Amino acid sequence: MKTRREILSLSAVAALGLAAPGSAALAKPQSQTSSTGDTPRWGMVIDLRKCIGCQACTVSCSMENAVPVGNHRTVVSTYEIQTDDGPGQAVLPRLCNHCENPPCIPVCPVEATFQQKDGTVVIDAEQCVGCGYCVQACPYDARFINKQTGVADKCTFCVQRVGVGLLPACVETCVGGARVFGDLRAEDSAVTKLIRNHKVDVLRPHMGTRPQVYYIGLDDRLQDRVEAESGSRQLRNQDAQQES
Amino acid sequence: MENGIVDLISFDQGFAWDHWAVWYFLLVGSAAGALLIAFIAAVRDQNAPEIRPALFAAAACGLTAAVPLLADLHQPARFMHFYLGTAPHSIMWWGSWFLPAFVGGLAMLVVLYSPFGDRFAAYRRYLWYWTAIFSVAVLAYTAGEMTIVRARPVWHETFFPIMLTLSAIISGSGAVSIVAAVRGQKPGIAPQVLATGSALFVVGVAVWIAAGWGKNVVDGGAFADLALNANPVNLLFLMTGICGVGGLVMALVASRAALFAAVSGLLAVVGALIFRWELFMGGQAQLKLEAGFLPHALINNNEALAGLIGTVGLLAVVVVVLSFVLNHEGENKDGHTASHSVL
Repeated sequence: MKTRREILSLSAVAALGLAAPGSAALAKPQSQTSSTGDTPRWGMVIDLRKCIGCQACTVSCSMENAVPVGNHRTVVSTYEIQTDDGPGQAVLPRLCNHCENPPCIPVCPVEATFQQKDGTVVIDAEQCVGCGYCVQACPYDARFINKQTGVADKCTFCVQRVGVGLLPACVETCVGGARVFGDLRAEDSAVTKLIRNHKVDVLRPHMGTRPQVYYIGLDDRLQDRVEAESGSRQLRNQDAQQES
Repeated sequence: MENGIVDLISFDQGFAWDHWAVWYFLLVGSAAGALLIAFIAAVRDQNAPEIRPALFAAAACGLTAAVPLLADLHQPARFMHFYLGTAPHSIMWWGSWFLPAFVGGLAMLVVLYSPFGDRFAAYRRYLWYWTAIFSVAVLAYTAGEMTIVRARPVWHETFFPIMLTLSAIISGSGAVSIVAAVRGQKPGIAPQVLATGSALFVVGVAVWIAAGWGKNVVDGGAFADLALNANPVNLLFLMTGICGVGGLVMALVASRAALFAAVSGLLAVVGALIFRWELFMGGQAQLKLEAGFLPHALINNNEALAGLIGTVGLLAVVVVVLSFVLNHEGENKDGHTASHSVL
């Protein structure tokens, strides 16, 4: 027979489980070592079939990392595309791809940006001079100059959370469980299994950067530079022209 | 509509390099171009009269250039980080050494050609070679650091480093022509360089557009896309053509009057400024992830105005100082002091 304290504890666990939606929690990393005991290689798989474009990841990332208004470390680009059944919606969550061959690192003149052993590409905000060269070099537009700090900024896979065994904020809040985070070196990790069992694609593979963010269900038309011919940006441009 | 893709939610990260960068690249490119003209004259004769306007132009541009470069850093107070470590894999890091070596050489040359420098005239030869080598290094690093950026299709095209360097040489020869005309000095080979460079420039722009005609932006069509589809950048390309052709025509008649030489020089400098603005700001406006361009409203116009006023203001101060320092003509071969001139 369970005591009242045990029942309350179980209830709390159940409540937490409901509050952490989706299957993302299954991929919860364990500090800085993988199940194999080696240094992990963090990566992400985004199952586009599950993404509903709610932008919860965008908001949670901005809240977690205090990203200034107008900048984004991650965002869900949303398109209307033609399908066999007529117009349809396509979503594409974008973030730093924590590439194996990151073009942002060698250009840095002060070695402020570097890759950790776990594959995460990070920036030393105290060392960065804000020259913006890495921002130019990133083919994924994942970097920006933070308006408040005056240094380069980007997704870090929430290094401050992963370091203590938590998931990145975007993964934690993903309503549909589309974002799965884990160790790409571990045979039994959720990301490895997804990559093994599904056809996955990366963005802009011809750039030779070897991205470590993989997509399931990526439309070919969204893999490289998206040839969008009209839409929200065009409207913004028109507004800007009228204002000027 | 051909492929039927409409962006419903998109985002813009803005410009990482602001107008200060355009000014820096223009000034340091002009300084290197002008210095090379002076160097060619100095190789023949270290007291050749055409050295002075070219050295004046090079020094004015070079000594001013460091300020917009610092201003373009978003953390300018941390510039010492360039020198407190090594990053040999970064072209920009090499540039951080080339620039002071070049500007330092320019400053030393100004001193050696001032009234205080005659006693050190023996060192001029070494300093000319030093500064000429680093002027080439500056041209190479400024073009190279942008050309390697594969993520910016315009900068990564084959024509880019060629045209950027050519515009630097045109602008440098234009600056020399202006100084020579205003100070009543011999421009040396500057008008010929300007005329030849302008002709090559106009042809080069046309060939660059033709080479990218109908191609995808990421497959060599970025410059053509920028020139033909981006508004108001395409208007600026028209202005570049006018400046290029105008500079060429004026340079061809420059020998008839100093006014024509000054106007041709001004057209060359303005043309290079506009062309570089197109490549730098237009290149950043050209989106990496989607077709189209960033709204130019994202450019901070107050910052642009501050850049213009700050750079031109500083340039004016440097010109005034140089007009006194380089007012000394030295001695001619026959031992007579040449006539002094004032700005």
